[in-house]
Formats: sequence, structure tokens, C-alpha cells
Amino acid sequence: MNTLDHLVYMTDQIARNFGTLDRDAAAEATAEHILLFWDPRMKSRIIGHVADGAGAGLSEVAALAITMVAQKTQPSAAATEA
Amino acid sequence: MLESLEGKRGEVRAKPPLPALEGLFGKPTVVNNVLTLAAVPYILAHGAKSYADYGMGRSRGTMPIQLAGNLKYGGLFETAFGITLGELVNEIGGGTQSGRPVKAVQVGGPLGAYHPVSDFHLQFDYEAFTAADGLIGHGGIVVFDETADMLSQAHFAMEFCAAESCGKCTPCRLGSVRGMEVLDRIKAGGRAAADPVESLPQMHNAPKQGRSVDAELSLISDLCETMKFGSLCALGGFTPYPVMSAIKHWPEDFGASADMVKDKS
Amino acid sequence: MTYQPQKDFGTPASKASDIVTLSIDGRDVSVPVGTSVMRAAAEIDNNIPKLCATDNVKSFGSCRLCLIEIEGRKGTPASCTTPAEDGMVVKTQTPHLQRLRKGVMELYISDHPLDCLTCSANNDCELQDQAANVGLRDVRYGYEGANHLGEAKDTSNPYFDFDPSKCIACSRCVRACDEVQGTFALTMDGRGFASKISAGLPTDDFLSSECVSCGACVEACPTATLQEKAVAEIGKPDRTEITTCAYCGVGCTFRAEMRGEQLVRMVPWKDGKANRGHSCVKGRFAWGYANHQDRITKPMIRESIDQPWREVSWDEALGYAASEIKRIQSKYGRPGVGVNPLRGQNNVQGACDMGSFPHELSGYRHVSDATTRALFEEDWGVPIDSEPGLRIPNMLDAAVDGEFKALYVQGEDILQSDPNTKHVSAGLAAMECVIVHDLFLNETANYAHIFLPGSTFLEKNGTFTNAERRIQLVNKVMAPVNGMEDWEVTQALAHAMGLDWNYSHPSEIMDEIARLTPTFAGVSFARLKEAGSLQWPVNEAAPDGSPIMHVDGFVRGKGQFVVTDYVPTDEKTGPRFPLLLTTGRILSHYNVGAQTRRTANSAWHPEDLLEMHPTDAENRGLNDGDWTRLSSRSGETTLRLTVTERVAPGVVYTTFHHPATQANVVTTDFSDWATNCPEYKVTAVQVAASNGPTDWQEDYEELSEQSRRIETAEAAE
Repeated sequence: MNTLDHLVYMTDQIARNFGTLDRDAAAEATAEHILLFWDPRMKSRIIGHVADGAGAGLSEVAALAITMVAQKTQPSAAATEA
Repeated sequence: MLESLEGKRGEVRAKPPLPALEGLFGKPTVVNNVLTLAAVPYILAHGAKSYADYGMGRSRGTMPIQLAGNLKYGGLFETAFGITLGELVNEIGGGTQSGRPVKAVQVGGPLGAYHPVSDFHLQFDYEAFTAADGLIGHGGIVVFDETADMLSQAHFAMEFCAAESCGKCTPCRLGSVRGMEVLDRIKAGGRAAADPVESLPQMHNAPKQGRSVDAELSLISDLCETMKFGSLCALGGFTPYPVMSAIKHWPEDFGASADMVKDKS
Repeated sequence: MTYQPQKDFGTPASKASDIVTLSIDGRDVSVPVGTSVMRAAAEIDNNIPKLCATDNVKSFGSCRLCLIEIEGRKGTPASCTTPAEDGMVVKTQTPHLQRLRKGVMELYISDHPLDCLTCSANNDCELQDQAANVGLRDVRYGYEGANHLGEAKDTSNPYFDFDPSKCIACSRCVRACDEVQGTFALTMDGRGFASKISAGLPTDDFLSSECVSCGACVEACPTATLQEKAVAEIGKPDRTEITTCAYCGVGCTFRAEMRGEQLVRMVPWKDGKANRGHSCVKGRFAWGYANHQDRITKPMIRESIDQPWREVSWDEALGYAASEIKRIQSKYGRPGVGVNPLRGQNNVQGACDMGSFPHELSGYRHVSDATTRALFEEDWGVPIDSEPGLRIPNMLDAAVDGEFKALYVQGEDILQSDPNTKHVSAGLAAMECVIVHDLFLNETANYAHIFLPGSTFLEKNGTFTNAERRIQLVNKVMAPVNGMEDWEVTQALAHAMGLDWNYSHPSEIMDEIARLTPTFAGVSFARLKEAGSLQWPVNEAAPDGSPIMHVDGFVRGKGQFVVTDYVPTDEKTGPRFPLLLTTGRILSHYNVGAQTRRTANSAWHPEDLLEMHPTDAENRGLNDGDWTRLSSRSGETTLRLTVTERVAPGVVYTTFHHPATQANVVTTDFSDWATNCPEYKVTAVQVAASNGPTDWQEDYEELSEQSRRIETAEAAE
């Protein structure tokens, strides 16, 4: 699979593993994982995918997680910039 | 026996631990032979004192003595400890079947000592026989007449040990075979010359002359000391009994020199 | 230090806490209950003669050399099987005991070769030692008697010989194989004088038997009966250095026994806390790769991967690497990406401890933590990125997308070990600069532009942290044939890139680690040398290290149990791919086999075989030894079949030790959700008869051959 498909797959996979939590908690846990462990290019690519194409292929929890990631990483005086 | 029962190679176990504490499959184990168990009904029926009233010294109760060899009346004779060897051979056994004089009596099994007629006063008692460099063992006696060759008997003892050896300990595994070989050399009158390997010039430390019967007998004596005190179990440990008693009491059968005969007594 | 064998106390140590005191030859000694008299004597340097006793196996009591006299007891018991008791009075040397010991030795020597001076165990033989100790001068039995001198030597094992003509039937080898290794490959066959050591059935030799070549029997053998071939070839070692094995996460420590700079043998170190005097075939014997003809000792470069390699000087290679890295960084931006070291299996723990993840600094501290970043920024004088970098599978994705341009790989072979080989090679081919720092031209080097020759574990100083957080020293025993220890190569590259690193010894690097990593605060080479090893955390709270962590609680306080669903793999079998392939390793090879394939360990595993259950084989008309095609959704490859009940029906198994197998062409891209660790153990496959290698295998072989051409340097540097 190509890179974007791979990113979509990985996001869904992370979300599936929080399946015992409710929707919001699962999305938050997924978002946290992506924030901690994905490099900036991967993050901006998946955010772009949700922004442009409504996140085709992402499950509901996964898509919600990405919007949370977008909120945290878009320029807004975030303290995590290098 | 315990190793074999556990399905392993039949090698002797070192003691400690004693089987009573750590025996079969590691559990406390009591090992009794049939003689012991056979005494139990009598003791239960008649009481311990009644059983102990038979015997002498510390050898209490009865023993089913196995009379065998060159005897008129062989078989099992159960009696109290204390009966003399002479009584067993002559009165009970009826003397030799061949009619020729008794030469030696082996008491205690194939690894028991050979006793001359001069020992016939000995009472059948554990301590008395030990003091005479012998043993009661399982209570068997085998009678030999004057045609017996004590060198062959000594050789047989080593042969028996070699045939039965489990092979675990050095004195028995190697000593029994070497014992046979040295007795063969004694039978041939000693070694006239050094063997081919000893004779090689590279064998600088090896003696270049042969070895006399006395020297070979001295070697047998040392070997028997090693086996008696060094063996892991009574197979190697007791083989010296028949061998050394044969040499001691019948040195002439071994071709020992007069000096050696004098030393041995 | 001058060569001394490791001290042998005769019988194992007792773990009891009650103490007994006894007198041995007039000297008192106190030992734990359960200690043998032999060991108690050895504790006070009274070495009672022995041959069948050795302290890593239980006492046996068979040689009858260690006899003693005990006051108040009859006879002469063996000191190895006699437990020490309070108040015992023991004599180890009396005229009677001397005669008995001499008698035993006389028997031994009556059945033993006499040419000690040309024997490989000369001066390293306990039988010789004891003959000397008892003053044996004459073997009165002569030399014509029955003996075992005509027994044939078994040279089947590539590393050691078995010469039964020198065997003294002490059973130490049998007991070592039982108690130390647990393989039970050896036994004493026959009984009495006919007793002889056997490696299994009468038709077995050591190589065909169950023996796993761990060498425990060789170490246990008191004579030359079981001996390393290297000692026979080279001679007795004359010095030793303690060092740590470079293979797996156990971290066995060894005595490297040398003659000068030549390694004669690796003997497991009895005081090694991870291995306690034992090891496996790899650490014990498979170190010959350091001298293999494939070893690259000169740096090499090339502009593109279809050209042959050119040998160049270190300066030129490092200069080229530095300029390429700089060029790519300035062209594509974002410094700090991809400089997290990839790591192989050795020292995985240590590498993780040092933050070899794209999201961590040392001590498992996330890069987003400003306090931690500040600590490093102050010490290193450069800004540290607060965002994580890429994991390997994601690096390769980015490379295929044209966004990941350069890679510096040290001691790992991703083209052979990572899943979905086609994807890995596409990723590597897409990069502009691949630097491989290794001992050999491995598979990844097929796609490399710069090759920096590395040093083996024998040729460098450092530490290795095993799976129980135990930090152990790796001690250099010979000069690196490539000219530099690996850390020196990395420093030289840093210099070429304009950095001002001035370490003169890895101990300084460890000091820096200790400064920057709270869990390593108390670690230093000096302390490691003194203590033998240390388990982190080593800090004020635990100055001597921490054998057990989380004793009273976790870092977060109480542990948290988390409920999870069972999430099955996405890899599904079906009519096209009805079998499940799992890949794994075997004992004699290590991972990609780069090292072990270049040693005699190949004797046990010259090729990767596909293991299949008899039912599955029969259904496909396949027989043992057939060439088969193994295919999956990712790709296909060809390898030979072995039919065995070792695998369940429906499952097939192979190893990935040989590059020709291309096992990872078949494995998938699926990975763990949290770590991206590849799902090697589950691939849906089909197996069918084949009549030869696949196109991929043939093309790959050709690529490898082309890629390994080397033009040697014409002028001296």
C-alpha cells in the first residue's frame, strides 16, 4: 500500500486497540499516541487527508482523533515547537 | 538398585545421603532383605526377648546358614548365632563329600574370606569373624578340599568383581581387571623381563628389569588396600577379603618366597 | 595477567544460611550447612586432590582420589560426598591417604597414553596434575594389560574433538550435559571396564547426536579427551581478559584466552552474573568471523550503486560521508531527523536505554519534555527537536515518497531482516546516500554508497546491557583490523562534519551518559570493573544498582490494569493462501547470520529449510528435500522442504539466516499498532513444488554479485 493508505491503516489500527473505551476516550488515546510517536510530516499528511477529502477510509474514532491532533498541532502558540 | 528402579543406569549412589533419609525418588526408603523380613513373624508371635535369647554377643537371633561346596550334607540350616565354624562344616555338613581333607572354607559369599581349618573354633558371630579378618555376609559357607588351588580362587574373586562391576569407581573398575592380570603373572612365576613398552628407551623412568613373585604379591597387597578403602561400595570393597586371606593362609599356592611367607603371618 | 585456570571448589556452593565450623588439617573454616568437606577445604586453599568433582555439577564420588580421614569415624570417606558438620575434625593428608591416592593414580595411568609432552592438554590437564601431586614414579602394572588406547577419535564437531583413548570415565561430561546444559546428549555406555562415553546411539558421533555444541563438556573434561581444536592447533593460552559476548540479550561473560593477540578460546566466566560459567555454541565457539576472508578492512565509496566499490582512505570516506550528509540536510531541511541510531540485536537493552527510539532521549524521556531537552542542549551545545522522528518502516515509506534521502546504518542489515523485502529495497534505492558501517558487505550494502569498516566486539572497549538491565564491560583483546574501534569511527565522522568531539576512551562517553541520565548517575567504567557488572538504576537511592525494580510500587504509583479486546491480525488465510507461515531462529545462527554464517556453525544449518507437517506435504505431493515455492500476497521465494511433525498442520516455518532464501520477500507490512514492530509470525502462504529459484531470487543474486565488486586502491593513502 502507498504511504497515505498506510497512515490511514495505522490510525485505524490504533483506534481499534482502544475499542473498550467510549468514543471520545478512544479518540483522545489515539490522538495522544499519534502526537507522541508520529513525526511532523506524517502528522501533517494525515491531517491534510481529513481536511481535504473528509478522511476517506478512517473509522469514526480515527477521524475524530485526527481532528484532535490537528487542534493541538496547528499554529496556535503551541509550546511543542522546536 | 535404587538407580535401576528409577529407570536410570545401575550405578552405585554415594552416601550420604542415606536411603533412609533420601532414597527411591528422593523419598525416605528402608531397604531390607528377605532374611530380615522372615524373622518378623516369629518376633511378633513370640516377642522380641524370645528372639534375642538366641545368639551371642551382639549377634542375636538365628541365621539360615547356607551350607555348600564340597560337603556331604549341603542345604539350609537355621540356627542361633554362636555355633562354631567347625561344627557347621563337620557335624552339620558332614565333612567333605570327596572324603579328602578340608583345605579352605569361604564364609559370607563370593567376597567372603577363606578360612583355614585353624579357624574352625570361630563362633558364627559378626564381631568374631570381623576380628579374624573375615565376615558373616549373607551367612553362606562354601567348603573346599585339598585339591583347591587358592591362586585360582583369588583370581576368581577378581574376575567376579570385574564381571559384576558397575564401573563407576576407579578402584573396582580398573583394579579388578589389573588384579586378574597380576595374578596371572604370579601364576606364571612373575615377570622375567620388562614389557616391550617399559623397555623402550623413551620410557626413562620405567624399571628395565622384570618383577619377582614377591614384588607382584606386594602389588596385589597395595591394590587390595586401595580397593578395600577406596571403593565406592562393597563389591570392590570386599574383593580383598578372599584375595588377601588366600595369600595369607596359603602363600605356597602363590609361589611366594620364604621371606614373604614369614612376613605375611 | 598470567594464565591461571578458574578456581574450582569441587562441589556447588550451598545456599543455606546456617553456618558450621570444622577443622581441616588443624585449621578452622566456617561454611554454610550443606557444603561438602572438599569445598570447605578449597575455601581455605587446601585443595584436596580430585578428578571427578567440579563445582558446577553435583558430587559423584567416583574417582576415589579425594578420600579423607575424619576423627571418630571409620574408614576413608570421599570429601566430595561428605557434608561438612559442626565440630568435625578432618585430616586430608596422612600416610594411609597418600598410599590410597597413589594407588588410584597408578590404576589410572595403567590405562592412559603416555606421551604427555605432545598432547594438546600438556600442562592443562588435571590427570597430569594429580599424578604429580601424589608423587607417582612407577606404574607397576606394566603396559601390557587391557586398555582403551585403541579407541578412534571423533572429530565430527567443527570446534572440538572427542578422543576416548584419553578418557578416565569420570562422567564429568555426562553430568555437565545433564545438569548445566540440560540436553542429556551424553551417557556412559556399557559397564565395568567396558564403560565408555557415548553421544547417543552407537551409530552417533557428536555432530549427529543431540549435542548442541555448548562446550560445557569440553570445559568439564579434566583431560584432553574433550578439547577445543584451537588449543590443539595453536597451543595453551597464556593470558586472559574478561569480556561480554556480542550475540544475544543474555550477555554471557567470557574469559577470552589468548596467546598474544591471537584468541585461542572463549571460556564462560564462572563469576558472570548473567551466565554463571555457561554459554551456547555461538558465544563459545562462533567468533571466527572476525578473521573471515569476507571481512572488509578498508573504507570504500562509490557514486552510484551500480558501480563497483573503490577503496579509499578514512579521510576521503569520512569526508565524502560528511559532505553528502550536509548536502542533503541543507537541500531538504530539518536537521536531527534520522540521526537516531538503528540498532541490531546485540545490546538492544542498552540501545533503548540510550534513547534509540525516534521519540526519546536517554532514560526513556520523551523529546517533548522541555526540562530533559534543556539538559542535553546545555551539554551538547545544539538545539534538540521536540518532535519525534521516524521509525524504520515509516522511514522507508518516506523514502519511496521521495522525502527521506539518507541513512547511516551501523551493525544492522535491514534488507535481510526487515519484512517485505521489495519495499525495503525500493526505499533504499530511492535514497541519495546510504552509509553502511559493518564488518562485511551485507545485503543492505548492495544499496550503499559509502562503506565504513567496523570492528568486532573483540576489538573494542565499551559496555553491553543485557535483558536484566545488567551493564557489563566489553574489553578489547586485540587491535581492530580496520584501524579503529567503532566509537572512534563515529567520532571521526563527527569531526568530518565539523563537530568538536574529543573522547579519548569510551569511559568518557559513559561519564557523559551518567551526567545526563538519572538512572545511570552512579555508573562508570571504574565502578563496573570493580563490581563486575551493575544493574540500573544506579543512583543515590541504589548505589550498588537494582536487581529488582518496582519493589514497593511503580513510577506512576499503583500499577494500572487495562482491559483490551482481542484484536486479531488482518492477515487472513484463504483458498489462495491457506497456510500460515511463521519465521524464527535456530540456536546455531544469529539473526541474519552475518557473523555465524562466517563460522563453522554453518555445519548445523547450511541453508534455511521450510518445515511442513507430513499431512500438508502429502496433500501437495511434496517430499522431504524437494525444492518448493513459498508465496504470499507480498511475494514469493524458493527453498528446500523438510517434512516434520515439529510444526502443526496448517503451519509452516522457516528461518531467515541466509540471504539466498529471501524469506522476507514473503512477509507482510503488518505491524504492531503501538511500536510498528513487524508481524513476522503470521503470513498467509501457499506452498507448491518448484523447479528452481524465483526471478526475484535470481535478479537479487545478480544484483548482489554486481554490487560486491571492489576495486582495490592503486596508490597507498
